Amino acid sequence: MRMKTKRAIRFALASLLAFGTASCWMPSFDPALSMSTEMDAFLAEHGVAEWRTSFSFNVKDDRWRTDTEFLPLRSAWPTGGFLVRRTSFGIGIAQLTSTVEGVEIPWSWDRDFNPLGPRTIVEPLAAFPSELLIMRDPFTGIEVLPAYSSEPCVCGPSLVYEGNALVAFGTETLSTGAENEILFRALVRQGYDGSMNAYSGQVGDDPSTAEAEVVFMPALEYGLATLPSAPFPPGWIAYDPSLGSTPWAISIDSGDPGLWRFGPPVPPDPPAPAQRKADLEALGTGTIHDGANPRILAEGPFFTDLYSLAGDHLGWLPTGSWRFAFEYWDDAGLRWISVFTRFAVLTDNHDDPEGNLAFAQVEGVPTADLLAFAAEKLGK
Amino acid sequence: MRRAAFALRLLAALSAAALVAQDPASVGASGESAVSVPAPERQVRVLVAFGAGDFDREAWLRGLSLALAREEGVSGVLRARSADGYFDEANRQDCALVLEIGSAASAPGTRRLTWRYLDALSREVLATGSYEAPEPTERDLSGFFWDEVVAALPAAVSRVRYTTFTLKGKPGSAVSGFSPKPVVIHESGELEIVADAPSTYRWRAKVPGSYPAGGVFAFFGTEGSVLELPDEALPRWSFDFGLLMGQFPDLRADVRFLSDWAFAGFGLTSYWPGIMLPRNVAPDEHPSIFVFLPLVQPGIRVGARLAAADSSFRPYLSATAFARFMFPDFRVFMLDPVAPLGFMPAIGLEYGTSRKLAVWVEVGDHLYFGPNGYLIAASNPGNVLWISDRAALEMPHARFGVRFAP
Repeated sequence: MRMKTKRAIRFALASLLAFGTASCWMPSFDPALSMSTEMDAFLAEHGVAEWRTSFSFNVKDDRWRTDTEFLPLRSAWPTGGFLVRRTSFGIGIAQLTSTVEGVEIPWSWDRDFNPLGPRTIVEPLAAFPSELLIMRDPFTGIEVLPAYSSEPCVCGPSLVYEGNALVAFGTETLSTGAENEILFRALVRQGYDGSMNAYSGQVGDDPSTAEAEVVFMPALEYGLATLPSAPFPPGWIAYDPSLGSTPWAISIDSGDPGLWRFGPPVPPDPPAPAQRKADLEALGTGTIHDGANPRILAEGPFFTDLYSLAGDHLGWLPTGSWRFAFEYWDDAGLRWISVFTRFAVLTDNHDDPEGNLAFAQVEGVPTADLLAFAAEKLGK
Repeated sequence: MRRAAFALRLLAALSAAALVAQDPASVGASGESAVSVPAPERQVRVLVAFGAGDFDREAWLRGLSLALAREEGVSGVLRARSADGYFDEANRQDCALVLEIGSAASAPGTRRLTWRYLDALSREVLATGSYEAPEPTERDLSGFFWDEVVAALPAAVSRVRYTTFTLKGKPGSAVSGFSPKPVVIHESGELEIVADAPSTYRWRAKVPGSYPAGGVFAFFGTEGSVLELPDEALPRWSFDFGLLMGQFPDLRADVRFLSDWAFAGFGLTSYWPGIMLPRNVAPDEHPSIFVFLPLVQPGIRVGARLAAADSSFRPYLSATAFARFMFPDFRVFMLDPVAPLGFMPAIGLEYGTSRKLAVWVEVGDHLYFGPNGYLIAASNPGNVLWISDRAALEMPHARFGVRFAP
């Protein structure tokens, strides 16, 4: 009995020791960074010179550390870009400019409200290199954050009204007409009957013009539809004219991410309900082009998967901490360039008045090569 | 004149001692003892018992002690506290030899001294003698006055009854404490030890493949006395279950060798799953206390313990070479390209709660190797002490756990 008591006391002491020493220590291991090194080799071999650049600088503010990514200016030979931090607690943006004296951060901007969190779209504009497009929830329009950080202005159509809900949105880069400008799209549930309207437009569009581009989508049977009436966070939407008369595909996070297609409306028959075409590894986060065909990127913490709008799994990329920034139309080479960035803070010294050493990398790779690499990883 | 008489008596005593030394019985006894143990220079403790008489006992004892202490065969000299029970006292005090001294005044200015060496155990008289000498001065007592008594000592020591006991144990066991150098048990598994009786020995044995043992052996000269060494086999294997920084599971299996002074084995640190107690949590945040890093770290290690297997606290040193395998999303299983290999020196302390169970704590330091040391540093900024082009040294960490040795 005495021995049992002693053992019990020892066990209790050991348990206390175990919990007492449990800490917030972490090993020197970042799976995303590690995974990205495989992508390094691919980018080193296939990357194009006009996008290959890096910036080394000090960041004094601790917020530019976790959940931060770097977006380069939307032009070849980028001389700067933006640090972007998107969390559920807010959004922060800082401009980064490379000068002969080094890298400067001329301005930064913050907002303590960002319910969409990491799904908020932030993209640099081509025509106005120091300005950013922001799409966020509640989606009342397209915002543009001007240079030198005043408050963003609403520069697009107001789409969501009382009773409406944003189902999906997305952007893609234009290759004709207004090369390298952003075309945004949004799918908005109208009322409660399951019908949805799809919108597309560009920054600077007159709201009435944008309104004219509204595309009517087939209604879903409310209550019977497998498509959530107002999924959150909103999915990614892309449009492919080569796929027929109803080319809209969206990725929805309804518990398990999936890619959905709408059936064609054949008047006077009622529209067919949306169909789940494929399971996705992650929510859609970007659109690139295979020739004229858009492909959806689904970026996870370690891998980025590629899908056709018909739901075919085209491959995957070991992106890790490389983040897809945008796609760029190379007018001279007549090819698409997929631009990726990587951002890392190398030191953690709170006492250093100079701040911590940070490193931002930019790589551009022909999208065709990227797709081939992704297919190779899939074994295709 | 007085010195000449003394010299003659001394010569006679030496002759007698030489004869005693050549006594066949005496030779036989010592010869038997040499069968098992290389005969050491025998040393005994002597209990001096003064008889009645009118003399300065303190001065005599002081002088006699000095004279006897100069002899190699004497390891100590004690004075009997009682006049009649000194044999029991000698046995209690591990004195194999009793020296009785009697003294009486004879002619004026002279003193007659009688002496006897006796075996404390058998009470057999080993040597005896007497002589007359001028009343000794303090200086005489510390010098030649005892020459005859001292001269007879080696013969008496050699005749002290030799007693033996048997040491039983695993062949090859090295036992110290019974002789100046450790004795080794032969293939027969037995060893006869010649020892004075009564006596007590603090002994310690190194038993091949078994826990070392030790203790105090009280030998009373009883025939057939046996000291059997315990033979508790050392564990061949041990298994560790621990936590790295109290967060991540750490498993090890070691084979133990070199009488448990060294070990080598396999270890696995898994960062899937783990516990993390986050700091600076906002009031409306409820982060999970579990963390799942897709990384396992198998390794091989060697080490050495710095204390014997039967010590309660055993410090140890170890060195581990490990590889890092990652499995993000369980989609790939590959060496971590940033830091595929590493090395970890560690120092630890083990506390054995029993032969089979111990708790341990150790401090180690990860030295990672990879194609770019700065990428290793960027994997967890602030967690490295030193960076080079191809390596990075992490801050030291602690581990603790339990160790089973079936």
